[in-house]
Amino acid sequence: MLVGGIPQFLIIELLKSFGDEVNALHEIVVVVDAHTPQEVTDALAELPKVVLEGFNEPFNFSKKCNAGARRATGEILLFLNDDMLAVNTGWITEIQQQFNDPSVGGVGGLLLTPEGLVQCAGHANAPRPHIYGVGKDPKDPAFQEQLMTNREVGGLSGACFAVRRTDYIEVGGMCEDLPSSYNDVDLGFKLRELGKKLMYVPSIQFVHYESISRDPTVGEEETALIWRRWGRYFEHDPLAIALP
Amino acid sequence: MPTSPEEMRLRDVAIGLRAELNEANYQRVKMESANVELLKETQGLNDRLRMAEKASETSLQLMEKLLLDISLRNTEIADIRKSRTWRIGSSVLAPVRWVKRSKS
Repeated sequence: MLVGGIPQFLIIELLKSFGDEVNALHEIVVVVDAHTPQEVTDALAELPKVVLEGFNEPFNFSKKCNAGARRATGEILLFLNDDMLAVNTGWITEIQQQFNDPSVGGVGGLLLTPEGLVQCAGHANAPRPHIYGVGKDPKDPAFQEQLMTNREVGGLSGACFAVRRTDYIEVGGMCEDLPSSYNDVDLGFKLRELGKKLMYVPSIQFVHYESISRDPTVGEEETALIWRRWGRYFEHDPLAIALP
Repeated sequence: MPTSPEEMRLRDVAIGLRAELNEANYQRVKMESANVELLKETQGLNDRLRMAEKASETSLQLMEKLLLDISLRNTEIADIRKSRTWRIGSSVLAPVRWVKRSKS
């Protein structure tokens, strides 16, 4: 990634963007691919609270998350993509407060494009699972109820997904048969099957450089699997609020 | 408590299979419900078809009866025209017919 014409590694920038928030964290588990440059691994090792977990298999987002979760020792797990930057502070406290409610099973935040528009404001599930609020301006007064209010949603982005460790283990973590797409949708439904709510909390904000790092192709097998498991919920999403 | 990758995978598979079973049941119930609706609709259409057939049959019977009545009446008229009374009457009225024709 180039920032101001200077090459920078996303994961390092993400951890730097935490600022003082890092003090509230128990640990930061970074799942490191075999092809991660040594200089990045070295730089990560110097950052406070960072624990490195090696991953030497072909790309599988779910497997990487599960490996990180097994390594983590905290009560609450927060999965964050490496292609993000924290926008503000206070998000760790916000996540902890949400989990004071035992009925909450997952917490996600507002993900923004570098231009400040919505990249993801949770998921909606009908007529198919999709990202909610894409391209909208979160500062627009017309969207305050939909985009800037804490609310229960039908799904959360795996790019920023907090979950209790016990719940995560109970549902078997992320489905490793969904290596690239829909793993977050599936995790959300598994948590909802436990009777838990998924909360969208827009005060938790990250810039997400997804277009830089993600292959948008969705595998047919992944689509088939998600419909085979949860197709009934894609007919109607009572939690989705229409966007004008 | 550490959890092995195999244990996590088994949990996911178990939950996934249960979800697939629930989904299959949901689709089965939905299909059965659609079939019941379809059956009701088919029955309704069959009832309407039977009523239309019955009306057509009644109409045909009435038409046949009407044709029979007309045929009987034609036979009666033909018989009257062949009768002795008709011939006598015709002979008696012949001068009257001749006068009428000559006047016109």
